[in-house]
Amino acid sequence: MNFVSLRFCAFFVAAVFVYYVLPRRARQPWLLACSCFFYMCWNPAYIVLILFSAFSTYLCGRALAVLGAPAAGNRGRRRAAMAVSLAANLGILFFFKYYNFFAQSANGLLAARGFPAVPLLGVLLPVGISFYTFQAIGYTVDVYRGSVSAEQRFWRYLLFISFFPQLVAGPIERSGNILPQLQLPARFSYERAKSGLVLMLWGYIQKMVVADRLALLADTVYAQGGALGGWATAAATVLFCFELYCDFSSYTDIARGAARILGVELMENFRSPFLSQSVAEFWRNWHISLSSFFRDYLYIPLGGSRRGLARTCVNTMVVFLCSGLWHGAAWTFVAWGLLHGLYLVCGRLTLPLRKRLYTALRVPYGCLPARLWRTAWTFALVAFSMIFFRAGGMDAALSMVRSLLRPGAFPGREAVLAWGMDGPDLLLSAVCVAAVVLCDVLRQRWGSLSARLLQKPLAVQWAVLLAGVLTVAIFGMYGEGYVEKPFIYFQF
Amino acid sequence: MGKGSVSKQTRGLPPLVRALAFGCILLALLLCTQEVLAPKGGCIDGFYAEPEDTIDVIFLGSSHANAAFAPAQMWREQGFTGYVLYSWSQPMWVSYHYAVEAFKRQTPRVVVLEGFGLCYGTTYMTPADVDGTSDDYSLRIPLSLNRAALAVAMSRCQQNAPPFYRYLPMLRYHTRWKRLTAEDFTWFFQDHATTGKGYGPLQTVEEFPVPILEGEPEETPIYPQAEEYLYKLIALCRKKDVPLVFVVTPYETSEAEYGVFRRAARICAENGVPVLDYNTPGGRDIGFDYATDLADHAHVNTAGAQKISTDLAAYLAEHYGMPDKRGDAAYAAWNEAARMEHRDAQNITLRFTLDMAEYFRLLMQDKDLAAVITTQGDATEADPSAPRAVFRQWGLDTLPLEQSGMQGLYVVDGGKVVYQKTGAGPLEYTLSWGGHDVTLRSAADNSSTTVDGEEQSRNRPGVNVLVYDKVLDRVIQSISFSTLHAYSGYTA
Repeated sequence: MNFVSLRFCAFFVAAVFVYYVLPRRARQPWLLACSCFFYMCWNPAYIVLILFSAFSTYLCGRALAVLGAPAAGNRGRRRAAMAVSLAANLGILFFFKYYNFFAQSANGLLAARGFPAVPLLGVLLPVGISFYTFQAIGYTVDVYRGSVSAEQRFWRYLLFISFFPQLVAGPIERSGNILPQLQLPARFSYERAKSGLVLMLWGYIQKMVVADRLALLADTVYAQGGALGGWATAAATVLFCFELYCDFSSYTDIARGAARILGVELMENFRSPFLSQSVAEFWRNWHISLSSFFRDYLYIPLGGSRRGLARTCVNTMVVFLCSGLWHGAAWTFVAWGLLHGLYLVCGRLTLPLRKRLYTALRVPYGCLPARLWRTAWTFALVAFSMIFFRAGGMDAALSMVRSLLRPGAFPGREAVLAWGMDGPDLLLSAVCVAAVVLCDVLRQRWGSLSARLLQKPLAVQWAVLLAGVLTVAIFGMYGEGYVEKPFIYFQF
Repeated sequence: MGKGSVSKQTRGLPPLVRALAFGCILLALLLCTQEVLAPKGGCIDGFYAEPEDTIDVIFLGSSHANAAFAPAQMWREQGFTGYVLYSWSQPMWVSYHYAVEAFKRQTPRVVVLEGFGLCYGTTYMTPADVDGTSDDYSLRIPLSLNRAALAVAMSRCQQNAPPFYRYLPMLRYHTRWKRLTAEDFTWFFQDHATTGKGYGPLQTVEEFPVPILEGEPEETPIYPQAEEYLYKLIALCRKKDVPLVFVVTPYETSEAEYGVFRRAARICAENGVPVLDYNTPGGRDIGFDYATDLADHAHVNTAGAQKISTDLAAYLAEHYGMPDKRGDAAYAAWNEAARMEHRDAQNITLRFTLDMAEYFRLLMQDKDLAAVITTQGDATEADPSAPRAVFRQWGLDTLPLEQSGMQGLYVVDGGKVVYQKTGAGPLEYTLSWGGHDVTLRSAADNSSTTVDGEEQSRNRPGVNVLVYDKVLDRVIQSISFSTLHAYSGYTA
C-alpha cells in the first residue's frame, strides 16, 4: 500500500478514526492490527518474517533481562543472547537480500575455475526488511548495553517493530524513543493532528510535485546510459540528487506526520543535507537515522576515532562499505559506499592542508564565498557518487561517468526537450528545485518551518495549507495514464 | 518539530468548526480548480446552457445519434425543440444516467433512444475502445448523486472495470495546467448554448451496398449490463410518464448486431416502446440511399441525417402531439439557432472542398462570406497556371503567380475584391471584420493573418486563405493552396 494512493488515505483515515474512538487500552492492539494489515498488503506471507524477527529479538531481550545487569559471571551468556538475536536478524537479511548477490558474484569466480555454480534462490526482497531488522538489532544492543529495559509484552515490542508509518522505509527508530511512547496511548490533540497533517502535506508535495516530476528526466537520461551526452548526464544526476532527497524526505515526513497524528513522535531523518559544507556534515544531515545507527552500533564499537588516524580511516571505510551494501545488494552500491568512505578519509587527511590554504589565501574560513564554495563542492562530490547509486549496473555507471568527461557542445532547446520533459515540466522542475533549496535555507535559519507556520495567524496558516493542497492537486504527478512510482527507498 | 513545539491552542472557534470550515473552503477551491482544468465544450455543456423546461425531446445515444438527429432541422420543420445528449459509443448505463440528468432540468414530452449502445461487446468497437471514450463527456456532469451513481455504473458495468474514483475529473485532467487558455477561466461566466443542439453533421460520402438479410436474424444475447440498463431506462421513462421511442440508424451492420436489435425490439414491444428501425432491410422506408447517405461505415452523413430527422420529427409530431413553438417569442433563440445551424450547414461544402477552382467559386458566390488571401515565398515554384486562372477569373491580380519573388494581399467580401496589393513585399494591411481586428502580411519568408492578435494563417508557400462568415460572425476556415501540395487545399 503506497503512501501516495487513495487506498492509503482511506486506510489511514479509518485507522485514526477507530484508534481515537476505541477505549485507550484497545488502541495499541488496534494499531498493531493496522500495521500487520498494512504490511500484508504487499505480501501476506512475509509477515511471518517480521513475526520471526520480532519473536526471536523479544526472547533474546527477555533473556538479557533475566540474566540481569552485566557482571563477570554472566558476560558470556549475555553475549550469547545478543548474538542469537543478531544472527536471527542478520540471517534473514542475508538470506533474502544478499544471498543471491554473493552467490552470483561467487559463480563468476567458480565458473572461471571450472567449479559448479552455487544455486540461486527465487525469493522476492521483502519490503522494509533492511529497516525492521536494523531496528531489531538496535533494540538488542540497547538492551544488552542496559540503555533501555527489555520490553515485557511481546505485542508491544511487535508494534515497535511493525509500526506502520515507518515500517517499510524508516526512519530506523530507536527503542529508547518509541517504546516509552507506546506505554500509554496519547489522547487526541487537535493541534498535534494539525501539525501532523501539515507534515504529511509537505511530504506529499515533495513526492508528487517534485520527486516524481524530476524522475521524468532522470529516468529518461539514465535509461539511455550516457548516450544523450555529458550535459544530459550532468543535468539528470543533479536532478536525481533532488529527486532522491525529496523522495526519501517525503516518505519520512509523511511517516512522521502520520505517527504524530497517532500520538507518536518519530525522529528527524534529514536536516538540509545539500547545504552541508563537507561530506562528513552531509552524513550528519542525510538519512540521520541510518548514519547515526552506523555510528552508534558499528563505528564506535569498532573504535571510532579513538585508535589513531589509520584505524579511524579503516573504520570509516568499513562503515561506508556496510552503508553501501545496506542500500542494495549490487556492486554499484558498494562503489557508492566506498566512494563516500574515500571522501571522508580524504577530507580528514587533507583538512589541515586546506585550512593552511585558506590562511595563505587570506580568506576567512567562515566567510560567505568560502561557505558557498564548500557547499557547491560537497554537492558536486555527492552528486558524482549518485551516478553509481542511480545507474543500473557498473557498466552503465562507468558509461555515464565517461559521458561526463566528453560533454560536447552545450545543448539547444530541442536537445533538452528530448531528455524526457516538456517545456512546462522543465520550468516547473526548476522552480521546484529552487523552492526546495530555499526551504532548506530557511529551515537552517529558522528551524522547523511547519512549527513556524503553526505559530502564524489562522488566516496565514489556512492560506499556506490551501495553496499546498492545490499545488498537489494541480501539479502532482498522478491520475490518468500515470503509473505511480514507489518510493525509492522501498527497494532497500 | 518536537511535541513541545506545537503551537498553543488557537483561541476563537472550536477545533471541529475550524476543521469543517477549512474543509468547506478547500472543497470549494478544489471544485473551482477542477472546473478550470476540465476540458470544455462537449454536448453536456451545451445541454446545461439550455433554459430549464424548454426541451421537448431528449435524444440519447452514441455518435450514431450525434450524426443522425438534427434538432434545429426538426424545429424548422415541426416547431418542437430537442437536444442530442450523446457521447461516443454511449453504452446503455451512460444513456440511463444522462436521462436521469436530463429529467432534472427538463420535462421532455418524449425520450428517443438510439440503440447502438446495446451492441456493447458485440460490435466493431471493442469494449476497451468504448470504455475509453463513452465517459468523455460524463465528467462534465456536476457533482451529484446521479454523477456518483454514473461513476459506479461505469466502474461496475465496463469490461475493464476501472475503480469508480478514476472518474474524478481532477484525476484525469489535472495535467491540463500546461495547456490552459483564457477561456478556461472565463468559461463559467459565458453562455454555451449551441446552435447544433448536439447534432454533428458529417459531410463525407462513402458508398455501401444495400444490405440484404436472408431471413429473420437470430436474436443475439445482449451484454447483461446493457440489457439491465435498457430495462432501467424503460422503467425511468414510465415513472416519469414520458414515452420512450427506440430508434436504430443505418450503418454497416453485422449479423450479430441485427440480432441485438431484434432482441431489443422484442423487449421494447413487450414494454410498449415503439421502434423506428431505419437500419434493418424492410424497416422504416425513408428513401435512404446506401450509395449517398452514409459518411462512413458507422454514421449517416448530412443527407442521411436530413431524411431521418424529417421522418422522425413528423412521427413524433403525429404520435405525441408535439407543440409548434415557432411563433412563441420565448423561443425566438431557437429560430436564430436554426438559422445559424442552417447557415453552418451551408458552409460544409466549402469546408470540405480542396480543389482551388471549386473553392474560389463557392467562396466568391456566397454573399455572406468574406476572406483574406495572403501569399508566401515564391508562388511560381509549383506550376502556377491553374491558380493563375482562378485568380484571373475572380479579378485578383496574378502578379505573384507570374513573377518569382512577388507577393500579394487580397481582401474579398461578398464575391467582390475590396482590396488588393501586389509587389516585392513585405506587404501589410489591416481591416475589421464585425469588430474583430484583422492584420494580414505577405512576405517571402512569412505569411500572417491575425484576428484579434491571434495567428490564424496556415503560412505555407503559395496562397493562404482565411474565410470569415458574416452571419455566424466567426472565422470558418483557414486553408492553404500551397506550392508544397501542387496548389491542392490543405487545412491541417
